Parts: sequence; C-alpha cells; structure tokens
Amino acid sequence: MAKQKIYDAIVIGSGASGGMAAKELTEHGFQVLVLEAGPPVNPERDFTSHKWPYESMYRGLGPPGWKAQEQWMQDTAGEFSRHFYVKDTEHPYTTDPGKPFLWVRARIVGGKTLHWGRLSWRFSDLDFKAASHDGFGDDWPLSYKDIEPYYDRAEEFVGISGNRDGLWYLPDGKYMPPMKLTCGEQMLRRGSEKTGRPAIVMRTAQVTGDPKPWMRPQRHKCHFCGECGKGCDVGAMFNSVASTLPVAMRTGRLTLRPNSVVRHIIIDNNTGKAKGVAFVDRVTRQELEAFSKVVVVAASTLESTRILLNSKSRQHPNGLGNSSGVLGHYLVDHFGGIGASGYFHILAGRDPVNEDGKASGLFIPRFRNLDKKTRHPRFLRGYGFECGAGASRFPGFAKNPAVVPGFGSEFKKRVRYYYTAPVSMTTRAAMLERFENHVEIDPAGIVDAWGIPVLRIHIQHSDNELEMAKDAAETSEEILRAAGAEVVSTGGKVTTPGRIIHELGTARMGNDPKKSVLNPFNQVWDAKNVFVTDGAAFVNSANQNPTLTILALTIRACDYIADESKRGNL
Amino acid sequence: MAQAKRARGRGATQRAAGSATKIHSIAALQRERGFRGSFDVHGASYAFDYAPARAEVVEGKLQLVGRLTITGPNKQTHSRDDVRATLEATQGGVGASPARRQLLAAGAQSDTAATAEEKQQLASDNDKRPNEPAKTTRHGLPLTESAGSEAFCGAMYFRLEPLDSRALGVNADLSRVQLNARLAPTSDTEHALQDLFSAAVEALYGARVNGRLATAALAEINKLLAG
Repeated sequence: MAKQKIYDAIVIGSGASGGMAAKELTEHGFQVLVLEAGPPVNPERDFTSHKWPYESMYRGLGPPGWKAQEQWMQDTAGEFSRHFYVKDTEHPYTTDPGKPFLWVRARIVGGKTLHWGRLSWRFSDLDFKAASHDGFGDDWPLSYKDIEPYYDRAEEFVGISGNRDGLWYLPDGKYMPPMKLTCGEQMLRRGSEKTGRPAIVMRTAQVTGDPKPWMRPQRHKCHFCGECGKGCDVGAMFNSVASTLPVAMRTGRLTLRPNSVVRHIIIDNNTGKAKGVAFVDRVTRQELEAFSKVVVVAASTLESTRILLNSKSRQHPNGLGNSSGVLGHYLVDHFGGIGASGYFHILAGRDPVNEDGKASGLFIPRFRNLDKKTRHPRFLRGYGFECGAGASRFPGFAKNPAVVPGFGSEFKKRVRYYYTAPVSMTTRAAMLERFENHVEIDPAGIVDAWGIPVLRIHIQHSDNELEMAKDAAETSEEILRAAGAEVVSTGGKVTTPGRIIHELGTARMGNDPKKSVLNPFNQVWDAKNVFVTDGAAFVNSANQNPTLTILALTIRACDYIADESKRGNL
Repeated sequence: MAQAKRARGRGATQRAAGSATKIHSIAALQRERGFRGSFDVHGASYAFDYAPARAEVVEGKLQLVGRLTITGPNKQTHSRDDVRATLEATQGGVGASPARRQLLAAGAQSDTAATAEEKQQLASDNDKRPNEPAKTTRHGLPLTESAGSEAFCGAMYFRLEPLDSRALGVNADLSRVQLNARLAPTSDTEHALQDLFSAAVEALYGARVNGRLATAALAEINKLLAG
C-alpha cells in the first residue's frame, strides 16, 4: 500500500488570503496543497474585460430576468462575468423571515479577487483600538504598529495606486502613481474641503507604474479599460491568478487542486489537532481526504466558519475552535446605499478627458468620531464616501427621461452632452459588531448539492447603523451643494447586510481564549495547527475595505507558522 | 478509477462511500403553480417537475402536496401523485419586493409593518421619482432594503418525502431529497404566489406565529393552486 502523502500545509481557498498563504508558505519552504472548491480558471477564456457589448445580443446585460432566475443573488455579476459566481440554489443558505442576507460567493480559482473592488486602505489604531476609543465591544489583540510592516509587504507585492495623504486615521503606505481625478471629482473635492472634510484619490490595487520584478511576467501596467469586474486579462489588477499563485507555483512546492469542496477538518483523536481535510470532488462526487501538519482556513469569511462549525469531533463537539461559544458570532458587513447624486451643469457639453475607463475615484474618509471635536451624539464609529464624477459605459442618467428625453440621434446627443456632468456619493459605513448577529449550522438540516450542512444567517442592522445612515444622507447632500452640484437624489435605503461583500467576523481573534476563536496570530486557540486567515478573524469592520488588512494578517500568520514550525510548536 | 488515481496523485486518498449516488438537492425555479428543475446522475440529465395541488400546515410547517414528474435522459416520463414537500427553511429575497396587496385586502394584518399607511407607502416605494424624499421608518431613520416590512421570500427549501427512485426511473438514491426552489416570478400567477408564500413564511416561520395571516395566506394559495 502506497504511503499517504503528508503536506506541510493545506490551504483551503485560493482567493486573497488563500493565494497569499500559498505564496508565503511555499516561499518559507513548505510543501503546500491548496484546495479550491470551484473550477480552474482559464484567463483567455474566462476573463472578458475586452469583450464588447455588441458581442452579445443582450449587450452584456443578460437576458431579461436572468439574474432573478439564475443568479438572483449576484447583484455584481454581469452577463460576461456570471461564471465567477455560484448559484444559491446549489449552494443554499437560510435566513430568518424579515432579515435577509445577500451572500455573494465566487467559487473558482482566485475567488473574489477576480472581480473585487480593489480599494486598499490600512486600518489605524482608531479601528484596532475602537473599543478603547468609544467603549463598545473589544479591541483587536494587536495594534497598528504590530501590523504596519506586514501592510508594507502586502502593498509592495500587490501594487497599490495612491497618494500619501498624511491622515493619521488612514495611514499612508507604499504606493504606485495615483490615478488622476476627473474634473467633476476635483470640484467635489473642493466642495468637501469647504465643509472641512478632506477628500483623497482612491487607493486601488492596480499596477499604475512599471511592474516590479516579482510581478513579471503576468502583470502589466493598467491601461484603464475600466472593466475590472470581468477579470483583468492583463494582470494590472491584483488577483490570485496573476499574482500570488504564479509566485507560489514557481517555487515548485505548490499543488493546486480545484473542484475540491471541503466537508470538514479531520481531527486526530489523540491530540485534538488537525491531521488533514475531508473533501468531495465537485464534479465526480468522490469523497477524498488529504493530510498535512498545518491547516490554513481561508475559504472566505462565512465559508471558513462553516467549515469550522462542521468540523465536530469528540474533542471539539461544538465545532472546531468553538470552546468559547463565540464561533459564528459578531458577523458584520459594511453598508452602503445611502448618499446623494446630481449634476455639475457647468461640465455638461465638455469633451470627456479621463471619465471613461479610470478605475478609481474620489474618497472622503471618515470624519465622524475621530476625536472629541468630531464626536457624533447619535452613533458610534463612522463612514466614508466613495465618490465618482463623469459617466462610463451605459450611463445611468440615460435611463432617465427627465434628463435625456427622446430617442435616436437626439437622444445620443443628449447623452453625450451630459456625459461629463453626473456626480455621485455613496456611503461605506461601519456596522457595530454585536454577538446576536451570527451564523450557525442550519437547524432544519438544509444541505448543499454535496450534502454538506449549510449556514443559517441571523443578522439585522441596529439603530446605530440607521442613525449613521441618516447622518450620511444629510452630509452627502451638504457636500454636493458645497461643490456646486444640482442635487437630484438624496438618501436611499441601507443595503441589505452582505450586499457590500465585506462580510467579516464570526471567528474573531482576541487575547482571551474564553472570548475569542483565534489568538493574535490567527491561530485557533483550541487546535494550534489550524489557522484562519481571512475576514472571519476580524474583530470589527471599521469602515475601510478589508482586503489589504486580510493580506497583511495572512503574511503575518504565515511568518508565525514558519517560526513555530521550526521550533516544533505546531 | 482513473479519477481516483489522479486524485491520489495529487496527494489525496479516497474515502469509502456508499454505492448508490445520493441526490441531496434539486435546484428548481418557480414556474406558474409549480417548480421545475433538473439534476444529473453520472452525466445523465433528469428533468424534474413538481406541481402542488394543495397546501396545508402540518406541525406548524407549510406542506405542499402534488404530482411529481421526472423525465429521464431517454425522454421516458414517470409520475407520482400526492408527493409531500415540507418547507424546512427559507432565504430572504433581496431587490424589488412584491407588494403585499392581496392579503391586506383580505384584512389579514402582517406583523412587520406597523400601519396600513406604512404598507401602502412601502408598496409604492419602487415608483419613487427623482427629488422625492426617501422612505423612512416611523422614527425618521432610513430603511434597510428588503428587510422588515419590505421583506419577502427569495428561495424556499423543501424536504421531499422519501422517493422510490426505481419507480421514478432514476438510478440514484432519492431517499432524502431537498427541493431548492427559487422564486423569480415572471407571470401574474407567479407574482401572486411569491407574495402569498412570503406571507405564509412570515406567519409560520417568523419570530411570532401569526395564525390569522397563515390561514388567510393558505386559503389564497389553495385558490391559486386549484387554478
């Protein structure tokens, strides 16, 4: 009988965290098996950023009703990118009546990095020490100083376009050249500054300078086609397929196995530690096992927690890492949907400059509850505004007959006339981390297509989020007016939890094993050779996009794994 | 076997598994009064059609009873009547919500919306024009989309009663099949049923059971299923 292979590490997932873990661990000399639930990706076939709308009879928008029928949950999917996403009738989850959650999932090699929003902000101690700042919840078990060198490493490797803006609560990093603002964005920035709120160029994970040596040969300078969500076929945008996985593959120590849907982590009954992973082949439905000394769970926030909850054993009867009872709890997502929009009439009729294709915009960072002076009486934490001015393909205003009436050549003239004039602001806001917002294995016994128990998600906004949303609606209108725009829409609805695709928490890190799932190095308190390195580890959401912090935490955890392995501590 | 060897070649070993392929779930779409979908067994595709004839409440759960038809790869059709499907769990819908007009007209109050005026306001929310103020809660705070009083059912997860796969011409284990039904209405009947199923779910599976709403919803569902 052939001896079974034991890898140094199994990494579950190949997205931002899984890809980075594969890169870091193989560079540390580990033999690594990456298990990805979805199919392999073929950039030439699957990335469609240069496909023209006229190549489909539905112009890239898909046949009427297709999203509702087939990809109903995948609001971000277009006709040309639908293959990145999973159908929730094959991958169910359940919710309480009246409390929906939109769980957008990409099961494919590269995961959500294939279509992510790319905004890359550092957290500061305003976020890591939020509880000390405002008295709510718990601090992270680390400070900005602890993670700063790992932010540096992540940014250097990824390639972040941005400016050094000197804001203490949004620390600067190592950047490639920033993208230029449009005329409307410059006007909006002046308006924001008039109201006392700095506005900065978005920091995005895109190569805007000469690619660094480690980026070659897959990655190239961004040429501003503006179709990042369809998969960047020149590798300008950071994704696992062009960035981390090729580096890991070049070490000769990476085995990547797509179509591997993980059931649970296999526990050694003698030690209580992990000894491998049980999974099912997505296509053949064969039940398989693989073995390793370390398991890194990086399947995305809720999938990782689902795997841990499904990993019940004699030593871990409530799921792996759940001796505290905290596993599954403190689920958060950012919210949006609130803001204002309008027109800079002064810009109408002007020739476009860089409006179409620029994959960036203006950001108004958090300005509430930074200090005593900015304290808001009705809510904790804060929000920022993601802003853009000018139109791109399929301008939204073209659907508004009040702005562009008629049809044919007159209609086209009107669309071109207003092309440079629209301006919009939308909120990215923190959600308070509350114990009652949680996930569990569905108590009714619902399973997915492979018979694996699914999650039931319990979540709803509190008045803190709604008060913040009300303030954001009022403030966005104030800023737009200060910028000289005609405001045509204010307010909106707070997005359903999950819609921003920043679901975080549920396997939080901490200093106390009785109150957290992971230690400060993403290591499961209850099984020291298991690490959770994705968004599940977050203690709070802050209001910044989380991926850069996930990458930094992953690098830090992998250094720790390498050190502890050398010492024989795992 | 070749696949198993490939899998082992990548450092994985095969676990012992039962001989018959087990079908865990069938993805289906609401189509008029029923649900249609398909599933694969060893590369062979089977069409699935479940046409409920009536709805009832059994042990607090919504149960549909109706005809199940399976069409095999060779186009041979097998049917069975009075197949029970029990609603075990649901997934909240997100997006444009169906207006709950039918049951309001019937006088059955839903728990989540505070007043009839609020419901009317919410029902017309999708018609909001530019410059119109956004809808808010009674406390003047913004609403969360598709939640609370705007909530509706997006997917229903039924447990089908154990099925005799041989009688249905399927070479697989159908002893514990879950029907994952997506509600994506395109016709008046489908819209009305989504509305009514949403009301039934709220009434039976919500934080508090609302018997009056459940009775009203069930009566309307049965009227529609009867055609």
